[in-house]
This record gives sequence, structure tokens and C-alpha cells, in this order.
Amino acid sequence: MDTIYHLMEAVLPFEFISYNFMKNALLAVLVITPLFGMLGTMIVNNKLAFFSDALGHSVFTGMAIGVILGIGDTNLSTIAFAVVFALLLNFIKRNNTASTDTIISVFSSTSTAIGLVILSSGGNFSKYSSLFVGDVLSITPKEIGLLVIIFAVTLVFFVTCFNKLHSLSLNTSLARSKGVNIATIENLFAVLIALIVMLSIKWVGLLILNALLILPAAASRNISSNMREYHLFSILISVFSGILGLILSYYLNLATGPMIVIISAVIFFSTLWMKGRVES
Amino acid sequence: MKRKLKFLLSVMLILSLISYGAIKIQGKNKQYQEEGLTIVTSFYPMYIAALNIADGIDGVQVVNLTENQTGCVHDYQLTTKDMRTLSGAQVVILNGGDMEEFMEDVLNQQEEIQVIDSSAGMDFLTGSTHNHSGESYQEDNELYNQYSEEIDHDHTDEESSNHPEDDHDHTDEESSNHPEDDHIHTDEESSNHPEDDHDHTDEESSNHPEDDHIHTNDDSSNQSESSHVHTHSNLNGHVWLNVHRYMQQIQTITEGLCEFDPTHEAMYRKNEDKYLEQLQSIKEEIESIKEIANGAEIIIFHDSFAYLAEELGMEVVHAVNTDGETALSAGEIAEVIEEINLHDIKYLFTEEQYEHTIADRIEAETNATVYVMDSLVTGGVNKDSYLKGMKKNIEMLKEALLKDQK
Repeated sequence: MDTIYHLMEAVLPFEFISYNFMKNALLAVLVITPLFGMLGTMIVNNKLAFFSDALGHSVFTGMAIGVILGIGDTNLSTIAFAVVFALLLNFIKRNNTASTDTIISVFSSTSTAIGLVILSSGGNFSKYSSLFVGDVLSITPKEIGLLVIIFAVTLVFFVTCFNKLHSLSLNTSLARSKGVNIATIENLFAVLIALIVMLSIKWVGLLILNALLILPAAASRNISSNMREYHLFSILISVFSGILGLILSYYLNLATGPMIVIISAVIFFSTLWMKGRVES
Repeated sequence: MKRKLKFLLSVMLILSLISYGAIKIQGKNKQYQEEGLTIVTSFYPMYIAALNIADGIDGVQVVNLTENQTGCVHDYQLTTKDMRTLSGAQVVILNGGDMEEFMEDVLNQQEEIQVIDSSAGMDFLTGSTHNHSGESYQEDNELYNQYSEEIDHDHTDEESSNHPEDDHDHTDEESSNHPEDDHIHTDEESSNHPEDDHDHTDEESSNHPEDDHIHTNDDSSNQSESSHVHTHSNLNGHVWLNVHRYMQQIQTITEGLCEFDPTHEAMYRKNEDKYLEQLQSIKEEIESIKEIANGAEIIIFHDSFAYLAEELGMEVVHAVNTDGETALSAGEIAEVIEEINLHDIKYLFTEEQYEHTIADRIEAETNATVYVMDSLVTGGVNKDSYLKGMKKNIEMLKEALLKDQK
């Protein structure tokens, strides 16, 4: 870790880099944002934006279960619950005629409600309110390590399953005709989203996590005309917003996560404008 | 592709330039003095204390974290500015009592910072937070009530007639000995809880001679097993509202500062003496109303007033937790109303910074009156803020108590 710190100090001539918490935050941003940019395109393609949001809400129940079972590290219980939640949701979605967004909404609000009831029964719900806005500044090197691992996993998934996932997003019949096992791919992807959402929710915050996942991809989708552009722009926008947001929050003393989202949003609207101009 | 990439890059460039401009205009980083001693305080009451102790000393500056924070700091998130402030600090003054949970991680990371825990060695009351166990509600109240017993020693005749059940209360609970609680209530008695009164009324009604109230220290720890399983971080940290305890905090802080910064010792001591003198007069004022306040039953809507009540010998029948965003359950409000009617409670103490809608509702349904007190968690940046706030509280108390006496 120290070597990375020294390297960062040598490469970046800015004042903020002299603080370790900023180094950690910057590293985290450098890992999270490309990850989000990449995953975001897949989520947007497969119309799972609402799904990832619902997963975020399951953090309450996951944490509540952790508290009840007395697990010190609630990361474990939240991840476990999120995976179960994602798989169960997928299962019901496949075997039920109700529309997907209805089912997701039911799941999302139910898990929020259960979590709220349990966590607030102690009267000190405020302890958990940091989940809402997140706190990228308190991230530790160990947690950055976890993020790096999940980043690698995502890359592997991306390389091996992207085409299958993509065909699935176009048309399920097409995917089936190409011999894609729809359920497996869907489940794998859902689990991956669950892992990433749960690992980053503490730093990004429930309220804006989804914006970070969706906004870069959505902005990129506005202006790109093929898959390569789509991904490139998405990652570019994501990383740029992350770094600029962090720096701005440092100098202007603003909340980090929301700042990142605001910058992504500005880019989204400018691409929307660009798209309108190109079309006319 | 190229055109689009160019567009995207130019958008980014424009954003960067705007940001740069914004930083230039707005972000003039307040650089803290490179030389000298920077004392960082965790939040408002500590800041006021440190301002007084370090008043007028060259080369020593006091910086407060959690600046624009309204409300309690339990759920505070450190900002980048706070982190920067901490990085330049040599000494950090904490209130202790689990108030600074938001700083634990950071302080663990930055080990070179000296930490003064102003409430070191102090015993805390327990917070109002309700636990998962069924009995917890009553346990909390027992804890709250325990400090009021101290006064009962002076009024034994009154005590024995008022609380016929005391004896019973101890006999079956004495056995459970909880180390955690022992130190909190040394030699106070755990008797005369209003809850006990109605819990056990049929069981015993005879008067008990004074001797019944002589107990070993362990008596006060009549907690059931469940409570200390669930309440580790359930301390009530608002100690500064008890002037006596606040004075202890001042002394602890001064000791700490003198240790870390011996060069200014004489000045710290001088400031300390001056401030303690001012506090002493506040304390005397409190003593003066203690007589009428003593034993009055109150309901508080903020944990901090438990310490005010402790000093005045008032009895907190119920501490309603309106701190934070957790809505009270309808059942709890009903419970509070019932208690008020049962004990004929006249005073509801609420906090300025929170909405008093619940207290107002309760007031409308009962004979009790709402009094808005200052928990001194926030306020003006002035070294006399504590003194002023406390005086205001005392005035408010006087008004409440005298009105009632007529």
C-alpha cells in the first residue's frame, strides 16, 4: 500500500494527495467508477435499472439480519441476503405473469420495510443513516482490495458472458436459439450486481448508488452508435465524474457522492442535447 | 466516433474549467497555522469548553469539527474539510460517552494525534434507546430513576411512605450482579421506581423502615441479563448538562492540555480557574432551585436532560427518544400518556432543535406542560454560550416550578 501511496504522491502534484484519506478515496473512485461504467451499460441494455435500485434497498434487511444474528461484520449478511434476494426475484419474475417492475417494486419495498422495522426497533436508527448517503472518505485499504477483486470478477464475466448477455437483452428467443442458457446468465448477472451494489453501498450511499450505475451508461447511450463507443464513453464519463467529483468535494467542502452524481448528470444532459442536434 | 469523442472531451474540459474557477473563487482553503498548537474539538460543548481554557493564548488555536451540525452528532459524517482539519491537529478533545462514534475510524487511522477524553473516568447514565428485549423499557426507566434516589436519603420519611414496594424490589433482583452497571450507580439505591409501584402494588403495601434502603452497591444493578447484552453502545453521553460533571470535564481537559503543552500550563490553569468560578455560580443557582425541583417527576424528550434532572434530583419517568428520524410507535406515545396520567406528571422537557409535535400532542391530551429547554448541543460561537444557555435553562426551570407551586 505504501508504494502505491508514494507513487501517487510522485505522480500527482496536488495538495489534496498528501492526505491518506484522499489517496484511499481516489483509489476507490478509480476502481469503482470504471466498474460502474462497465456494469452500467449492461444494466441499461438489459433494462435492469430498477432491479439494481431494489437490490440497494435490500441492504436494510441484510443489515438487520446481521444485527439479529449478531454478526460483527454486517458486510457478510448484507451480501448473502442480496444474493438470495436477487436469485429469488429472478425466480419469481420468470414464473409469474405480473410485470417485472411490479415484482421488483414489491421486493424492494418489502425488504426496506422489514429492515426498517428491525433496525429502528432499537430506537437508534440514526446509526444506519450513513447508508443513505455513503462515505467514501472513510474507506480503508482492505476494502479497496475487495473492490479490486470484484473488479477482476466483473472483467472475467464481461469477457466470457458479454455476448450472451447482449443477445439476451435484444431478444430472449434469439438468445435461446443461439443456445444461451437464459436462466444461468440472468442469475449470474444478478448475483454480480448484488455483490457490487453491496460492496459499494457503504461508500456511495443507497440514495445515489443507482444514479452512478445508470447515468454514465445512459449518457453514453445518447451519443454512441455501436457497442465499442457505448462502453468506451460510459467508462470515460464515469471515471471523469468520479475524479472531478472527488476533487470538487475536497476543495469546496461538499459531499462527495452527490457531487459525482451531479457531474454525471450534467454530462448526461449535454449528451442529450447533442443527440437532439445530431438527429435534427 | 471522433466527433462524438471530441464533443465528450470538450464537455469534460468545460466542466473541469468551471470547477477550477469555482475552486479558485470559493475554495480558498483556510490554512491553519503551521506553527503553534492546534486543538481540535469534536463538537459544540467541547468547543466552548476549549475556547474558555485556551482563551487568549498565542500560538494555540481551537478549531471545531462538525461545524454547521444541527442536532446531535450521533449520525454525523465527517466532511473532507473535517478530515483536513484533523490532519493538522495535534490534540483532539472528545466528549466521550460514545458521542463521537463518527470519529473512531479516523482517530484509529491517525495515531499520532493526542486524544483527550474529557469524560474519562466518569460514569454515564444509560440512553433511552429501547432494546429488543421485552423488559428493556422498564430497565431503562429504572436506570433513569436511580440517580434520583440519592436525594431520597435526605428525605427518608417521605420516601418510605411513598414507596412501599421498595423492599420487594430489591429482594428478588439483588442477586443479579452486572459489573457493567455497578460503577454507574455506586451506593445509590435502586428503589422507588414508579414502575415498580404499579407493577407490584398488590404484592406488598406495608411501610418499610429506613433500614430497607440500606443496600450494598450491587443493588443498583438490578438489570436483567438481556439489557447488558444489547446496550453496549447505549451510553448517554450528554454529560455536559450536569454542571458538576461539566466542571469535571473542564478539569480533565485542562489536565490533558497541560500535559501535552506544558509551555502554556500557567495560562491554561488561569483560564480554568476563571471558568470554573463562573460555572460555580451557575451551580449555586442550580442548588438554589434544587429544593423545589427535588423529586419532581418529568418526562424528557431528549436524553441530555437526564443529566440536568440528575443534578436537580428530578425523576425522569420516561425518556422519549425523538433524536433522529425514527418515528415513535403509536403504542409508545400511548404509554407515555398513560404514565403522565398515572403519576400526574406536570413537566415535559423538549429540545429546541427538534420538532415538538409529539410533545405538543401529549400536552394536549394531559395536564402536563411542555417546556422547551436548551441541550447546548449547538449555539453561537461565543465562549460564554454555555453559561448563557445554562442560565436560560435555569430560568425556564424556575418558571416551571414556581408556577406549579402556586
